[in-house]
Parts: sequence; C-alpha cells; structure tokens
Amino acid sequence: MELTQTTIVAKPLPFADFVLPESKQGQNFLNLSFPTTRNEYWKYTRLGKLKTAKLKISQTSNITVETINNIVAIDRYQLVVFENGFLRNDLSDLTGIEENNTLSNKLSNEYFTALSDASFTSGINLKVKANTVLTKPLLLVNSSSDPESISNINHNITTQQGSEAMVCMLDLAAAEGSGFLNSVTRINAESSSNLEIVNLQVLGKATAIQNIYVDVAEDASFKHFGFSLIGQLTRNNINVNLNKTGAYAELNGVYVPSGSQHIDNHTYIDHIAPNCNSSELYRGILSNTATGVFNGKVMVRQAAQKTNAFQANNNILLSDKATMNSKPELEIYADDVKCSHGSTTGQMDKDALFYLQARGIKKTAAVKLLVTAFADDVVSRVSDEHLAELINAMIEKQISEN
Amino acid sequence: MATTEKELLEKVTKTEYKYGFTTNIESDKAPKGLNEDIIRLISSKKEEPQWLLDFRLKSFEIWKTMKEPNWAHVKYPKIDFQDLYYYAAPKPKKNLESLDEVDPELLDTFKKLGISIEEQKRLSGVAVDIVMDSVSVATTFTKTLKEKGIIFCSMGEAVKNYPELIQEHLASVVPVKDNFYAALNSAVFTDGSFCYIPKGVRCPMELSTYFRINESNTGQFERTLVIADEDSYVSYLEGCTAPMRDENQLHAAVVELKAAKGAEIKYSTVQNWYPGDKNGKGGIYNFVTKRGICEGDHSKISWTQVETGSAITWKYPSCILKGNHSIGEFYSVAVTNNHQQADTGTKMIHIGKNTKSTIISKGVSAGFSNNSYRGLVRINKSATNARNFSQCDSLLMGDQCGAHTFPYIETENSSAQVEHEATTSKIGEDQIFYCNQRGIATEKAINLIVNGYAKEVLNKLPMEFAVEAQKLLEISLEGSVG
Amino acid sequence: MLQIKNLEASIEEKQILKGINLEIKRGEVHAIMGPNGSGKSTLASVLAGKEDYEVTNGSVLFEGKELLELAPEDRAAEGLFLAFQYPVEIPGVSNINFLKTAINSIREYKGMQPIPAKEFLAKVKEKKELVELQSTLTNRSVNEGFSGGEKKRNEIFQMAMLNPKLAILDETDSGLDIDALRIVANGVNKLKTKDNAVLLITHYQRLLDYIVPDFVHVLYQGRIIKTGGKELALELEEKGYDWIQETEVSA
Repeated sequence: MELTQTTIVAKPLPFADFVLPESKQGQNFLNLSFPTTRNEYWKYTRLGKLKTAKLKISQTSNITVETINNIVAIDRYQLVVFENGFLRNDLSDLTGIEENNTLSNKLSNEYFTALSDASFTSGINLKVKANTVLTKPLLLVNSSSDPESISNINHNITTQQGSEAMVCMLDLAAAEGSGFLNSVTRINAESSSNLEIVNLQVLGKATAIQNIYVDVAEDASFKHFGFSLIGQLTRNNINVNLNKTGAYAELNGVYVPSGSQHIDNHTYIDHIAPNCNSSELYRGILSNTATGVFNGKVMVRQAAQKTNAFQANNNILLSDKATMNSKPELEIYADDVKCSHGSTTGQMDKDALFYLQARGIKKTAAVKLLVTAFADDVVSRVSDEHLAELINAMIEKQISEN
Repeated sequence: MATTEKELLEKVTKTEYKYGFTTNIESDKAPKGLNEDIIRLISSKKEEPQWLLDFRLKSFEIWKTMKEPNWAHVKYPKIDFQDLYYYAAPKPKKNLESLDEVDPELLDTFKKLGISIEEQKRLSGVAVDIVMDSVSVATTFTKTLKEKGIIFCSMGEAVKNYPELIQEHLASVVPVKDNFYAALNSAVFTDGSFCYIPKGVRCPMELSTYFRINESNTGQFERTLVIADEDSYVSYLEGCTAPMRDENQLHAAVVELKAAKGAEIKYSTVQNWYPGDKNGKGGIYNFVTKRGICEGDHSKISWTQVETGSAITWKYPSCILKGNHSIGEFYSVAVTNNHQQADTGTKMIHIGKNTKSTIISKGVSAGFSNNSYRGLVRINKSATNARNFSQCDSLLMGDQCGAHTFPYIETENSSAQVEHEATTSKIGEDQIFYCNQRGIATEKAINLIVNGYAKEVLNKLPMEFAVEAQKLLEISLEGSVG
Repeated sequence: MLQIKNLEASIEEKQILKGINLEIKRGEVHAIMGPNGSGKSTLASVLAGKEDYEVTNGSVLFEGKELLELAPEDRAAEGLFLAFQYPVEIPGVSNINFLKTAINSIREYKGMQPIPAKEFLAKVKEKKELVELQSTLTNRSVNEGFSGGEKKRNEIFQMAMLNPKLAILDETDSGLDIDALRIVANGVNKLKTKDNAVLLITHYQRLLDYIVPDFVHVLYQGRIIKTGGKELALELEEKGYDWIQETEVSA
C-alpha cells in the first residue's frame, strides 16, 4: 500500500498579508471572515474579484496639483493629499492637522474597517477647536495611481463644541488605474458643532470601500453628501449615532453608475436620544448595465421619543439592463415618533420629456435637463454654491458621456 | 380623563381570548415524534396511493437536510420536532353525507366559533370546509357546487377522487425544497382543502375553510390547493382559531394558488390563532407558506389578510406574476399585542410584461409586541412596463413595542415603475381628544381610529368577514394607547 | 348654565389663566376677545377637558355639575360642544360613522337606546342643509382633505347634529372668506334657542357682525379685564387692544 500524505491547507484570509498579526487589531481581523452575498449586509455586492486580486503596497507618486485642480479648484481649499495610502507631504498644507500614525483602539467586526484598523498606513487627525470656524475648507484627497496598490486610510475628525467646519473629500483614481482604496473615517461632532462633508468619488476602475462612523452630540449637526460619479465597485457605509438630544444628521447622495459599474450606499442612523431629527435623500441615475444599491436603515431606540426621521431613495433607470436594488428599513421601538421612507425606481417622467420636446428641445437635451434637475434636488442642499455648481456640471458631463 | 392609560392597558391584557375553549371529542392520535413510520402511518390512515407516500417520504428526506430559518425578526425557543403529535383526528370518523351526521359536540364547537354551519348555509350562502386538528370534518354545499363543475372538498377526498389533478399540481407552486416548513408540511400534511374552478365559471358563493387546533401538543399541517382554470373566478376565505393552552403549538400550512389565463383568485384570511397569554405563555407558532402563480395572461391573485392571533407569525403570501398583464395584490392588517411577534409581508415577482402589483400593509403594535413588514418586489428583466405600488404603515401604541419595515426592492427593467412608501406613527392625542369632545370615550375612539387606519384593507374582505375582522381588531386592541 | 369661578390653569408650569370669572345663562351669547396669547384658546381647551392643561385653582359649574371632574367625553355628553380652531383629521373614519358613534355614545350616557337609522339619516339630511354642506363631504373621512372653510362648516354641522346646551366656538371665523363666514354664522344663529347658549372666542370683531353677542369680554394676560355689550367690540375694533390695555393698566 502506498502511503499518501494529505495536507489540509487553510485558505489564507484575503489581505491577511497586510495586517500586523501580533497586534490586537490584527488578531481581531484574522478572526473575521471575508463577506459573501450570503451575508445580509453584502447581499447585493459581490466582492469575488477583490478577494482574488493581487495587490501590493505601493509608494508610487504620480498625482500632481494639476490633476486635482482639474477637478476642484484648489485655491479655495487647504489641500491635503494621500496617494496609494501615503501622505504626499510635498502637496499638502498640514496647518492645524496631524498625520494619524497610531492604530485605532476600536475593534470592529466589519471586515474592511478591521482591515484598515489593523494595517493602516496613514490618515489625518483633525480637531476643529471649540467655538472656531475652519476658515478655509479642507480638501482631503484620497487617490490611487497604481493599479496594483492597496491603500488603507484612517482619518479622525473632531469638531469641538460650537465649532464649524466643511470638508471636501475627493476620492480619485487615475482613469487607467484600478487598485483598492479602503478607508475608515471616524467623526466626533461635539455639542453644538456643525460639520459638513462633501465626498466626490471619481474612481475610474478602482475598487473603493469606505466606512464612516459618526457620533453626534447634543444640538450638533452632521451633514454628509456622497457624489459617486465613477467607480468600478464602490461601497460606502455611513453609520451615524445620534447620541444626545437635539442631534441632527443629514445624509444625501447622488450616484451615477454607467458601464458595468456597481455603486452601493449603506446608511445606518441610530436614534439613541430623544428629540433628534434625521433626513436622508439618495438619488440614483443608472445607465448601461450598471447596478445601484441603496440600503438605508433607521433605528429608533426605546428612549428616542419625539424622533423625526425621513428617508427617500429615488432612482431613474436609463437603460433596460441596469439594475437597482433598494432596501429602506425602519426598526422602531418608541411610539411618539414620525418616521417615513419612500423608494421609487422607474424611468424618466415621459410627460415631462414630451413637454420639453414639444417646446422644441431635442430629446437628448431634454433627458439631460430632466436628469440634472433630478440630481439637483440633492446637489442644491450643498451649502457651498461653488462646489454645488461644480458637482452639477460633473453630473451633467457624466450623463452626456453615456 | 376618567380612565388612565394604565387602566386601559390593564383592561386589554385582561381581555380573554374568546375562542379559548377546548372540545371534548375523543380523538385518534398517532404517537409523538416524526420518522418514516409515522409518515407511513399517516398515509395508510388516509388510505393514500403509493405516489403520495413516495412524495411524503422524499419530502421527509429533504426536510432532514434543511435547517430552521432564523432570519425573521422573531425570537422563540428551539422547537423539538420529535415532541409533537403529527396526526390527530376527531373520532369516530366516518363518511359524512349530511350535516346531521356530524358529532353534535363538534357542531357545538362551531357554534362557539360563531360559525354555525346551518346558519352560514342559510344566510350567507358560504360553502364551508372545516378542518379540526388535522382532518377535514365537514364540507357544506358540495352538491350545489358540483352542478357548476366546481370541486370543493377536503384534500383527503381530493386525493381519492381527483388523483390526477392533485398529482399534477401538488407542490408545483411551493416546491418541497422551498423552505424548512414547506418541506415539513409536504412530509406530514394531513388534510386541508382543495378547490378547482373549471373554465369560464364564476363561483357563485364564497368558499370558506375554518381551521381549528383542538388537541394539545399537536402540530397542524394543512395543505390547501386552489386551481382556477381559464376565465374563472373564486373568492376563498380562511379562518383560524385554537384553544388556550400553556404550551406552544405549531401550525405549518402550505397554500398554493394557480390562476390560468383570465382567471381571478381572491384569497382572504382572518387569522385568530391563540396568541398566548399576557405574559407570552403559550400560543400558536404560525409558520405558513402561501404562494400563488398567475400563470396565464390577464390573471389575477389577490391576498387579503387580517392577522390578530398567534404567538409568532411568519408568513409571506406571495404572487408570481408570470402571465402578461397579470395582477398581484396583497392587503394586510397585522395586529400584535402583549408578547406577540409577527414577521409578515409578501413577495411580488414580476416576470410577465405589463404586470402590476399593489401592496398595502397596515401594522399595529401594542404591549410588548414586535411587528415587522418584510417584503420583496422583484422586477425581472423580462417584465417590461411592470408596475408596483407599496404602502406600509405602522401604528405604535405604547413605548414597549416595536414596528419594523424591511422592504427589498429589486428592479432590473428600466420601463418599470416601482414605488414604496412607509410611515410610522402613533395615534394622535389630538385625534382622541377630538373624539372625546364629541362624546366618544377613549377606548371607542381608539377602535374608531384603528379601524379607519385599517379600512383600506378591511374593505377588501367579503362583507361577513369584514364585520368579524373589525370585531377582532377591537378585541385585540382595546385600550392600548400611547 | 355655566359658572366659572376664579379659574387658573397652566401648561408646562407656565400659568396661562390667572383667575377667570364668568357666568353664562340660558339663551345668552357671549364673546371673548383678546390679543394673541391672552389665553382665549386655553380657556376653550380647559373647558373641554384637554389633558395638556393643568387646572391649578377654581371651579366650573355646568348645569350645577362640577365640569372639571368629568372626562372630556362626559362633558360632551352633558351638552358642551367645542368647535375646534383646528379640526382634526381622522383618516379612514367617515364623517357619518363618526357622528353616529358620537350620537350613540351620548345617548348611551343618558340611558337612551341607539338612534334608529332612519331618524339618523333624516337628521343628517336636515342639518346638512343648514350649513350648506356638500353631500359628498359627509361620506368622506373626518376632515381629511377638507378645505379650511369646509372644516369649519363641518364643525357647525356636527354641532347641529349633537344639539349641545353650550357651544364654544374657538376662532371659528379664522381662515374663512366672507361667504363661508356668512354660512357658518347663519348656521349658528338658526341653532340658537332660548334654552342654549353660545360662547364665541375670536380675535376680530368681524364675526360679531353676524352673530350678535349679548356680552363681550376682553381677555388679557389670563384675566377678563373688561366686560360690556356689543358696542365694546366695535370700540375695540376702532381703537385696538392697546387702548384697553392702557386704560385698564392706568385704572
């Protein structure tokens, strides 16, 4: 009889090579398993390609100020640039900002958060001092220029009591480049502070997974705008805790996937304290064989009486082959609340289209006009008018190209 | 105010379950537990053909490989499937020719249920099939229906008299493998109703089945099959009650509907299984699979349900809209009080062109209960011009209960128009005060407001059921205001 | 019929009514006027029994019974009617069903049998004409989707159906155009008998051109600071509330 030796080789966990295995964050990560569509949280987003992608840490420096300036006029901002997960000191103005060089103390059971926490390369620590206003808004660029790079970014932003800040986050990938951008942003909006984040995603063929965790204190206001213009596979998870009475959260987004792109927005608003309001408006314009996902959950805890929570998700399918999966959820344990959500998916308003055509507007122009107006309901909520104008133009351009 | 909220709440929880009596009828029970022998025993008791025994055994094999689902928003201790009786029939059981032969004790039971068969026969012209524990005991009006070519009988009789119809359609809408409870039901179902409406026939009366669980520790696994041939119409009603018992009882039914070209099936349920006592002890686990297929063009299936009973409800009456221009509807009122849990909703699968679906769900939660709407609207690539409208509202009474909405909306066709809306609110204090000022006491005001809230759904029920449903809402909810 | 003695009431610890004294007899029409925030609507709500307000002192006798001890529905059954400033919408509950429930609740309180269907319908038909209410409105849900004027007319229609001893009209004239105002006022006048009484609560004199009061009271900072005949209303209209504040404060 021949002797055969069977060796059972455990399949390595994707990205295990990038974490610090001896740290508690590393241990935490190694105990998790790679999410599949059997996992409810990932039901509509397949990560198969990412799982087998050959990635490396890359220190390529290709991005120039011009590249950025072509998208957002930088003179109005304090610029901080990360490329492939590394800080570009040469392009950045770090006044009042520290580079984040420590591992997060939090142990997350979300796979990509845990990955970033256990292996991050860089990020910023921004603390807006009490009762001050951030004079120049921050333009925080997270870019990928190497098609094989993995970048893990961890940002921490705190707006201290009574302060006010606006941050524009630009997620950027060179048109040809792919790569994987994984980021975690932890936000602490202290009492009576106001923070507005506008996130522009122009991600080419890259895969981007973003996790944002927000704590909102008494009478503080947090607004987030996500404009996902291009991205092969984009997943944004925004988790907001309304911790104290009077806290306010507003989450908005427009996603315009085309080609075979897949854009997935998951929001979770946890009403923990009474008298908090939240509002969500996400709009999708989908063409070609693109897929959009919206999953918005509103949780209202037993103590969170007098909650007002409103959520809407509207989608236009411009192509027969596009797919939209919408899952608005309410989980409510308090009775004196006003919560509602609405979700619509369909094609453009034919009557409106006809009306415009009857006034002599060409069909393509009419479509562009209507779709831009559809997006503008979200865009017009951005407080910076310059930026709103810019975003509208970008959306219009994106639609024209498809 | 004369009555405080607390007093009112106490009053509700003291409202006794009206249908909680047991009937002293000797019954014929198989031993506890589930194995091949039990299945063979059920099959032989029912004098079934070999193919059906084979179907059961195969289903049992499949069931053994499956796991209990755990995704619903409900919590309950693990069920020991070996600790249940799978067959219990009222005894003696002989072939009944007329109602006069029915056990008087049994008739008395039906009277207590408010469904005096005689009366129903005389007044409302509703044909009734009554299933007690697992076995169908009386079907009225069979002869009148026969003249039109309509078959309405117990599943057991149908297997004997119309084997080819059963063999063709059984498990064709809900496959054995569909889910854990469907597989279990396929292995052990004991009776249920069968209904066939021939081509072009409009069923002249409401067909109705009453289900009742009488024996303790009994699982009830009925199986209902309704087939509407081309251009036919039928309205089918189902009512359920069970005695008050401390231990939980399992009800795992399967209902299959098939509508051919131009046919319409209206299926209404008033579910009032024993919900358990105010501390959540006892009550029915209602784990039911209901699905209909609109096979032919221009066919229509409409589900209406009023769910007030059961400790736990896990139920998603669904429509597969395969035929072009077919229509699916789901109208639901689900009320939970005390420690009840309900996870219910629907699935509308659009496959055919120009298909349309409407979902109206009204949840009411009181006490310590949890009430979830879970629904799927899926527009397949082939479903050009599909339309869906969903409205899911929740009403909360008191701050110890929960109301949840979990809709899944999947759209793969750009010509589709899908709309979903949901709201959650409580009964307005200003509404109650307004009623008070007009002389209406708070408790009555709540009934008025809740019935108004549920009206869109109650209106869909046949008249005699609507009145019963309205009363049930009142009984389940008296006084619970937040 | 109604005797209010030294009535004090507060909401969320804030005192609104600071000692109201008022007597209304059968057959009388009283008007309470006053600037915004003087406590007019609070008085109406307290009389009807709204829970949000806490009565801290005083008594209200209605036909010899202590009103403040009664639940709101029992006050209604005793014959007190409040026409709401903002009538509440109750979706899914038809006006007819609502009124029938109300009438039968009140009859039950009085130990009477429910109203026969025929009698009820005849009454609906009769009273509807009184306020020129469209037929369709009675079958629609209570106040749902009604215009402002329709809501107010519906209040008077309900008043006609319930036939109260004392009707309190809380700013019934607000938001009404001149035609609607005339219809509402006509309705009230037709319902007026020597056995019942009306308490009008209003900001403007306009309504009093149509429903002529026997007494006009001026409510200011939670107290009735002046009482007079209908000419007081005209004077107020001409000189404004400032005049009365000045004269009263200086006096």
